[in-house]
Amino acid sequence: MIQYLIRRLLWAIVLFLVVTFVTYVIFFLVPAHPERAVAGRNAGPEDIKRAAHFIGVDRPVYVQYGRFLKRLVIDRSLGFSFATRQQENDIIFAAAPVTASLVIGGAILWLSISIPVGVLAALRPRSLLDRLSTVVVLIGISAHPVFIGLIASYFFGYKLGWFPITGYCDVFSPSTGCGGLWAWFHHLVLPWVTFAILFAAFYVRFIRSSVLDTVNEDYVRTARAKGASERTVIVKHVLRNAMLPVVTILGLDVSVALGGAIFTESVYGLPGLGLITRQSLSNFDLPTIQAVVVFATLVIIVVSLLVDLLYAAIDPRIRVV
Amino acid sequence: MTGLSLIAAAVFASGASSKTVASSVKKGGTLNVNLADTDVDFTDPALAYFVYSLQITQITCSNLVVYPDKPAPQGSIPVPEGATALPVVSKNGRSYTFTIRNNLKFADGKPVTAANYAFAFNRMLNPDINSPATQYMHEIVGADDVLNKKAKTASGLVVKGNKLTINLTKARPDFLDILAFPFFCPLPTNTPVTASGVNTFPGSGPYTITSRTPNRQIVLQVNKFYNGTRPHNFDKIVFTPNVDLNQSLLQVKSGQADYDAAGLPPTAHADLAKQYGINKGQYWVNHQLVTDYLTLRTDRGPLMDVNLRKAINWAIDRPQFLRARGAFAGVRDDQLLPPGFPGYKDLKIYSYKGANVEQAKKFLAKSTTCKDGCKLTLYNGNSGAFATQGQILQYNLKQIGIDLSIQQFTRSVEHTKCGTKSEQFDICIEAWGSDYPDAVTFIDPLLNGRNIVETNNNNEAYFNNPKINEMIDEADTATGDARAALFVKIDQIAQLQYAPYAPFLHRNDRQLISSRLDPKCYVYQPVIQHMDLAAACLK
Repeated sequence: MIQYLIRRLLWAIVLFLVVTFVTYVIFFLVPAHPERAVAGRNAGPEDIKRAAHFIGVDRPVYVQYGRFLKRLVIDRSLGFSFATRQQENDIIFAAAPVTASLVIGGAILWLSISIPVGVLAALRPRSLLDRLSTVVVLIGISAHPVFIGLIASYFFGYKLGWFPITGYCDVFSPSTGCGGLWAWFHHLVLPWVTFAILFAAFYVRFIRSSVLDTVNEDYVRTARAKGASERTVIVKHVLRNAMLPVVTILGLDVSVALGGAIFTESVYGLPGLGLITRQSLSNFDLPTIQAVVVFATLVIIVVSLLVDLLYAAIDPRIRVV
Repeated sequence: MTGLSLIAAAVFASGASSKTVASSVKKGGTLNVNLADTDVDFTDPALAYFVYSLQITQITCSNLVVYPDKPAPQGSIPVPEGATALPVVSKNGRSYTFTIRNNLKFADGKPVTAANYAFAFNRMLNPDINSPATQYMHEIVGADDVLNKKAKTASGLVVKGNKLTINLTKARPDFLDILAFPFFCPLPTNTPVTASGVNTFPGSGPYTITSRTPNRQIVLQVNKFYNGTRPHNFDKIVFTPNVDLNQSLLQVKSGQADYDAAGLPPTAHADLAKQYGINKGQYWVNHQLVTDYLTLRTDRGPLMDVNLRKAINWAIDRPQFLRARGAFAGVRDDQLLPPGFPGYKDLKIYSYKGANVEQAKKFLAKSTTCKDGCKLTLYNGNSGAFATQGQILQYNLKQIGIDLSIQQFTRSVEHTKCGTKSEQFDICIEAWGSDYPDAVTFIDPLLNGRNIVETNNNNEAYFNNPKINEMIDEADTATGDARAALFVKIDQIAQLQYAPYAPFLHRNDRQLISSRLDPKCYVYQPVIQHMDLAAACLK
């Protein structure tokens, strides 16, 4: 187990270096000069040169990358934004809880929808519920989160006034005019629903298929032959095994949910990592892009590792060497 | 009168834009301002440069001179604010002496003195803060020494009691305009000099910033120590950044927000005009100091031939270019200087009503580089109106036998590539806006060939004409009406004789305010190019 862990960690470091270096190189292959924006529109060559030196883009790419790694490892700093000059650590630590609220709440919602619907659809194939779930899944997969978000906020926010149209409130130590558990929950209901619909649709299909596969396994037939009740067969034998691949994919989906979060956060004005990513891409703000990449890479590596370990714990047939 | 003329008439006659604000207006309340899809860059006046940031620093600062909270033309002329009067200017125009008002106070109750101005100016020159304001400060004696770390303070900034003298290396007739720009804001002498600037500082204007959480909220409160003449009707102004553009519109319509400083969805304007009327209380259309144009490369390729550049100026369909930006997006034009500049004159050089293919072909026939057709390359942005305008241009040029190849990039990449001399393009679609209403801010960056360098050029036509360069030098030493007239003449001669650009529109700013706001307090500040927040009030 320890050997496995060490190997995984070493690969994680390699993955981290590759991902961050590729991001750096891509940025430098794209000819956008951030120093021009820093210096101002009427700036002369000397002003622009000074600005380039100030933000550190006047050095070769490998020197800049080396400085980035040194700062990250020794100073534990992600640097500062070209566009706003804020410390990247502050930017990430302010945005991450917002994205975490969206993703974790969204994951709970999509699992709450997809597990019962997926299981029931599998246990009663070609029933009305199964057909209905197929239609809902198709809609969920086809409709873009931006579209769902705009429609939901128009009807439930603007027309009916049940939920805020946009915005975010902190649970603890509010940084804006609103805060507290209820305000946080109230502002996130529509984003959670928007975020969860796409994933719920995928998961309904995935769980249905996984349960259908498991229901026909030999050990399920054996359990029934031994006289186990239908409830015991479903809960202990079918669901436990059918959920194994769901746990794996859930771990991956939660960690890569940043992609989906960009749309949901933009529509609802949630100041999370997705929104920051979009802003920094349009500003060519390399340090912020790099900081989000570093953070996302770390989350993916850690969550993947946890999922692997959890998977091994759930399924005794899996042996890690 | 055509539909477009009616719109233009409505803009020019814009109710509140030309009215003076009524003497009795409702005081108090909170003004809720959204910033769709963006945050301000900074709230530190030395660094704040986004338009929305300037809206904030403009009302939190008492510069020596300020642009009044009034519509054009009064709003474009600097008046004393921190100073008791306009400065005493030396005969050679190189020395400006201001006397500071003795009752001016920061929001913390401390007096604003000449030292606070000098400190703020030296702070901007400090290389540790790297302020974009330095682009306007090189003429201050000793400024470059501070920028190059040879001195701590600029020797040209002299404080004597309540007097501040600013000595320049050469006369700058636009210097008052520069000082009225929100960069030049007095600050307490203990304000930190940090690269990231400060989020809050004691304001000296009608408002002060009490809190800022980046990407979340900015709160301004009225400065209770302010005793100047500028309006300050709301008690509090709250900015909410990063609201989705469409959601923001819903919020303004429902009164949850009062106004979005970052704009409106491009497709909403026709409906908004139908619903609220133009400049009748809620939906406002005003001129901006922004021109959109094609840059026609004068230093390489077929476009070195002036007849080809003129042919393109005749061939383009300006009304179509304008329509690509949505309803009421601007006014079509064929000159660089937009309305709103002192001395603006509609020059009517090329075709306004649409493409004039016949005239274009006449010039094409005279061309030595494209007589029998040719291929040109357009570098263009890949989204929004720019992408559509690229296709319109391709069609327009096809009508006169020019084959246009379009290469698309994201806007910032396209801008960088077009500003790089070695890039192999013929045309770019660009826009230029002014920091303050002096024609030199348009004519010098776009037409002065001596500014051309290898990268980061604004003169993307790479136009370098000794006669025009000399005319710019001459105009830049003139003052008042003569100055304005000389710059208008340069614009006219350049476009008529050399056609390095094909300007096609001057942009409008289009805003919706909530029904809570009193339209009689609506003032469009023509230099900041946004609603004046200090003047706004509730019904």
